[in-house]
Amino acid sequence: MQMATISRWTLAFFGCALVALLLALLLLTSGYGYPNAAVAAPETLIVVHLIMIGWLSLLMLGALLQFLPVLVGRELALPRLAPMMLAAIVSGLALLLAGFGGLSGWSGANADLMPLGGSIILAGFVLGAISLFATLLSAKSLPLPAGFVAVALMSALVAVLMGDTLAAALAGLVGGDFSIALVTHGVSLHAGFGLGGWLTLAAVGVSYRLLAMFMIAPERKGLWPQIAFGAAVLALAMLCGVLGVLLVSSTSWALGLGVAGAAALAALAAYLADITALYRSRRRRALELHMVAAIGAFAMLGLGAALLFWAVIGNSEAGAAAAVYLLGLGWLSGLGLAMLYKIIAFLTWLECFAPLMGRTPTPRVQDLVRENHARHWFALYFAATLLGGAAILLSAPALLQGAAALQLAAVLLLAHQLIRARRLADLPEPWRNHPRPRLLMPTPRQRSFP
Amino acid sequence: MIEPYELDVRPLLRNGGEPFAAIMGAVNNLVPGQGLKLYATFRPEPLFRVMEVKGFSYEATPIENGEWQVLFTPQETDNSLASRARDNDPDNWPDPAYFLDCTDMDPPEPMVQILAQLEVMPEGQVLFALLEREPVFLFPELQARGHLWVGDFDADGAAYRLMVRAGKAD
Repeated sequence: MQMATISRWTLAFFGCALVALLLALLLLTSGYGYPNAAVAAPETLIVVHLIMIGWLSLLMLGALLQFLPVLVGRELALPRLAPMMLAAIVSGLALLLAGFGGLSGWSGANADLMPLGGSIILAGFVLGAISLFATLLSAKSLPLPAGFVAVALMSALVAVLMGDTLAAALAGLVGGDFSIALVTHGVSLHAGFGLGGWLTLAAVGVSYRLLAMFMIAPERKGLWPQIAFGAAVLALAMLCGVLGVLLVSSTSWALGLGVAGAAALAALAAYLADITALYRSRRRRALELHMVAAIGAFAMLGLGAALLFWAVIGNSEAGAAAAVYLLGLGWLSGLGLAMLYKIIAFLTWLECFAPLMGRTPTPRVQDLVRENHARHWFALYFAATLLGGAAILLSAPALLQGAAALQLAAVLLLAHQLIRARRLADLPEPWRNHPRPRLLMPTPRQRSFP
Repeated sequence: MIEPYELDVRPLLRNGGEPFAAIMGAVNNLVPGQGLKLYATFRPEPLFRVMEVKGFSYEATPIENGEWQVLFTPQETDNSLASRARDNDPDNWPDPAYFLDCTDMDPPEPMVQILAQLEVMPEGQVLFALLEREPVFLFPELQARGHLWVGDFDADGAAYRLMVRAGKAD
C-alpha cells in the first residue's frame, strides 16, 4: 500500500539551497561576475554554479527525496544516502568555487581544486541517482511525471560528468585538441544538459503532480503531456548525439543542435499549453498564493525560451545571458520559491498536527503562513527578475545590481516567512502555544502500531 | 464450561469418505467458547493448521488401534491469529456504516474529515470515503492509529475509493 512519510533530510537540503541563493544574489548585488566580467570569466562561473548547483540542484534533490516516493507509490530507497549526498554536493561545490577563485587570482586558492570539487559533486549526484533510481525501479508502473524525473536524473549525471571534465580541461589536467574543442563547444552543451535536461525536466515532472494535487485538478493525460515528454526526450537524445560527435571528432554538429533546440521549444510549448489546461480544469476556484506565483514562473519560462531562441538565431551574447538569467532566476527559482512556500507549510503542518487530526480542531495549512504579506514579496521578486533580464539585455550593470538587490530583499523576506512558518509564529490564537518543531530536522513520528 | 461437541468421523473414513466438510460443518455450529472433540482413524495433521487459523489450540491423544482423539479448544484472547486474520480480510468486514464524499475538499481536509469520523466510530465499524486521489499522507496516520484500510481507483481512474475499518482507540 502506497504510503508517504516526511522525508528526514528534505528541509536540510532546502536550508542549504536558500543560503546558496542568498549568497549568489549578494554577489550579483555587489556587481560580481557578468556583465562586469566576461560570460566565461571565473567570477561569472562562481555566481552561476552557486545558483545552478547550490540553490537549484539542492532544492530539486530535496524536493525529489520527498515527492518521488509520492509519485511512484513506493518508500524512498536507501534513505541513508541522503545526508551523504548533501555533504558531498555542498563540500564539492565549496571546492569548485574555490577553484574558480584560484583561476581569478584569489590568494591561497588553486585552480586544481576545480576538478577535485567537480568529482566530489559528481559523487554526490551519483549517490542521489542511486537512491532515486532505485525508488523509480521499485515502482510497479511509472506515471508520466516520474518519466520526466527519470530522464532529468540521467541528464544531471551527464551534465555533472561534463562539468567535471571541463573543470579538468580548464585546470590544465587534460590537454590537446579535445580540451580546446570541449572548452569552445562544450560549455553550451553542459549548460543545456544542466539547465534544460536536469533542472527544467525535473521541475516539469514535479510541477505536473504538485499542481494537480493542490488545485484538485485531474492528472494530465492524453496527447499534450505525451508530446511534451516525447519532444523533450528527442531534444536530449540529439544533445547526446552532439556530445558524441564532439567526443569523436572534436567538432560541433550544427544540425544536431538545431534539431535539439526545435524539439526543446516544442516540448516547452506543449508543456505550457498543458499547464494552462490544468489551471482551467481545476476544481478549486480560489487560487492559493503559490499557484498564483507559479504563473509568474511559467510566464518567465515562455519569455526566457523565446529570448534564448532569438539570441541563438541572432548570435547575441547579451540576449543569451539575459535568457539564461530569466530561465534560472525567473522560471526555475520562481517556481522553486513558490513551491517551497507551500511545501514547507504543508510538511510542517503534517509534522505538528497530523497526530491531532480528528481529535482536536487543527489549523488550516494556510494558517501557518501569511499570504497577504508574501504576495508582495513574490510580486517584487518577479518584477525585479524581469528588470534584471532587461538590464543584461541593455548592458546596464548598475541597473542589474539594483535589480539583484531587490531580488535579494524579496528572497530574504520570503525566507523569513518560511522560518516563521517552521516556527509556527503566525498561527491563530488557539494554537499559539503549540510545541515548535526543529527548524531543519523533522521529528520522526512515533508509531503505536507495528 | 461448555461440554465440547463430539464428532466421530471414523465410520466415514472407514467407508472411504472425505470428512472435511463434516468437520467444518460442526465447527461452524459451535457456540462461542465451545470446543470440539474429534475421533479419527489417523492423526489429522493438516487439520491442525486449519483450526489454528480459526483460533483453536489442539491436544491430540492416541487411542486403541492406532486411532486418535483430538480436542480442539477455542482461544480466549480477542487478538488471536484467527480474529486478526478475519479483520485483515475486507471480505469479512461489515457493510460501511458511514459514507464520506471528499472529492471536492481542499487538501488536507479529506484527511481531517476521515480521521474525525473514525474517532467517533466503535471498533470494527467501517467507513467508506470517496477521494480525488490516493491519500498517501493519510495512510501513515491510519496505521499509527491502528485502523485497517483498503482502497483502489474506480474503473476510469477518476476517483479513489477507500474503506477503513475502525481500530481500537489508543
